[in-house]
Amino acid sequence: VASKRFITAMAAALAGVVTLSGCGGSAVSDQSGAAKGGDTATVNIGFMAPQSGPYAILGKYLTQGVDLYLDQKGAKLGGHKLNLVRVDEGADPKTALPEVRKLLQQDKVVAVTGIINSGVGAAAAPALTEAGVPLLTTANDYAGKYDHWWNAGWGNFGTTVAMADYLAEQAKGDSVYLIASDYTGGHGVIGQMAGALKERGVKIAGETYSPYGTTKDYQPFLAKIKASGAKHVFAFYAGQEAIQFVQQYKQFGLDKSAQLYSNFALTEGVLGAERDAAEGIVTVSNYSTTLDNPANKAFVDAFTKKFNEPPTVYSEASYSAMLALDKTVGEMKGQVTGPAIQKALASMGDVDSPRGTWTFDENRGPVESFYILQVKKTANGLEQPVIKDSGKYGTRGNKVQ
Amino acid sequence: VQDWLQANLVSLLNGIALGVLLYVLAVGLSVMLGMLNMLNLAHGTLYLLGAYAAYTVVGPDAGLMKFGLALLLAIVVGAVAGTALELMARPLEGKGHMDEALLTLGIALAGGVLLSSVFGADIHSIPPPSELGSSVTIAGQPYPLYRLALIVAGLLVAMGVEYVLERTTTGALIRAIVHDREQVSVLGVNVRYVMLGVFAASSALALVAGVLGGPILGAAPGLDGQVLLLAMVVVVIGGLGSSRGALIAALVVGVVQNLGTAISTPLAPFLIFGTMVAVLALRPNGLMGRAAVGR
Repeated sequence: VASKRFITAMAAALAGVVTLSGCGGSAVSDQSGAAKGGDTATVNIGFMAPQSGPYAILGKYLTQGVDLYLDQKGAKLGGHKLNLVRVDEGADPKTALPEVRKLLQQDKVVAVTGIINSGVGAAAAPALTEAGVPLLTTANDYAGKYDHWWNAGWGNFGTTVAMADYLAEQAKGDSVYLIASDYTGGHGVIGQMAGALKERGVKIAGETYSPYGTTKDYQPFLAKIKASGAKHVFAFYAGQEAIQFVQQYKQFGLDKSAQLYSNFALTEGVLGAERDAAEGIVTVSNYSTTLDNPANKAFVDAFTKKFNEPPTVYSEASYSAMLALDKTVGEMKGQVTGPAIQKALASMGDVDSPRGTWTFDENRGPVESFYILQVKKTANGLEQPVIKDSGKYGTRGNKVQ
Repeated sequence: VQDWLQANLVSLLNGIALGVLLYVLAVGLSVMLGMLNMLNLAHGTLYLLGAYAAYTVVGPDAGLMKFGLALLLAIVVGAVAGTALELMARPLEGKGHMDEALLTLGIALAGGVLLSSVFGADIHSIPPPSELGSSVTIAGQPYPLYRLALIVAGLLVAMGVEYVLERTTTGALIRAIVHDREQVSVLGVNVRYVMLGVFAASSALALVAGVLGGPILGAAPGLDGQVLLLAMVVVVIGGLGSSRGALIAALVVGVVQNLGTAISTPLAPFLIFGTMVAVLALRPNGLMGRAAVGR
């Protein structure tokens, strides 16, 4: 009798736990206002950014970029009244896809922007293609693979290859260890990095992936790096995962045995939380607040005034995506529809954004300059000055002159 | 074997740290389930409340004083929350597990939403006390001092719980209630007061675990469900109402989780639940479970 009671108890308990963990993610959902429907003067644009999950911080930065645009342009897009419908990207496609469907069916948007997780982009792209609605993201791992997916931020491929060029100079005869978060973006970047390093004659010491979104303790993975004896480590983490990885990398003494490299995601916008643990990390980026051009100076000033903190790569990218849409819709004759924007984006030409001038290439991603940065302690605290200008790269990681 | 031990010593140590943390969380759940037949699905929410308490009180560069303050706050809030929980559960007396599970599940869901509306969707990290922020070298490898301190703190809690349960009159009463509640009340003991005390202490320990675990696991929505699941597994493996069983089980789960992740990441979750299934198959009452649960 006793064990029967026990089993009933545990069955009820486990059922409860499963329900509990299942419900956790969906607590935050629709915050958007009502759709405007068939009003031709208003352009409905969907903006999807994570408000929850491991990339919630990055979602904040994406939103800042868009909010600054709305401020400066008075909620207009290419002269039309803009109705921006905001939805939560959440942690993964599972939470994001219902929101994409809502944007298409309920809000009748003509374009979607935002989206930080390439996995979400890849899941959303087929539905958007079917509806003829273009997607302008801030990142993309699949240059050219999806017909309606445009990338106004950084191409992960170009970012990775620019870093591979630098790593090849630094590592010489040594091998490089690769570690990333276990999701589409992580596998994409590490796959590209491994390929690019092999092409440049650099050996791979090992490759490991930590479960995405649930890993809090990186010690088992750091132990693998330690055991490999590698002197160079390339890591791909962003948001909260980046903070914990960087702090534990130092706590477990890896910073003394191996130089840490990454793309900007490891330090951008999270440097304040990582603090001294981030010192010395080398990253690659398509944007730095220190870039010397008038558009950037105006952007940094306006941004800092509005948000009391300097802009990040993410804010610059979401801001630039809005600039690209603004330019396309502004030059459009006739009705603003998804297919019309899709067609116009192909012949958009140069966009003047804070990071400099860039344009879409045949893979619907930007041709742009990349810079190698290093975290240094200065009188102003931690800063990321440019230590090398890597020049322009295309979406396939091809060097462009 | 020596080489393997050398290579995995840090992983092993880390498993013990996680295990000790799980013990502090799970022991209250185990005693409550064993003694009161009370399924508290809000236990994970109490943990998260503790983690947020630590996040609020312990800022950057905070020392042990602030951390101690957070622990004190956790104990007070936990005792209050435990008392409130007991009062809410009282009308359900004798109605069976399903009603209690539904009540505490409701509290857990409402609590989870409430916490994320107050603290946001962000995942907050909590720095360790500045005195314990550095690393020490163990077998030639650096190891964070805070985690060593956590092991010591957790073992102290275990000794305290063990002492109260096994060496004091109160403990004897609690154990007696685990075995036969009616018999104890016939002896003229007010079972209700003892139960209230167990509710309060168990909830306080859950919040304390949240504070202690803060610098390692952080504070974020969803963490409540994750830790509750692990605590459940510890209770099942250890056996209901047994502090010693909970300690052994927590260490097993911690070490299996850490070494498992180090050796084969995709297999790690399977290993934990595999261990649980194996223990249940061989010893249906858990490692140290008291054979006759209930009346």
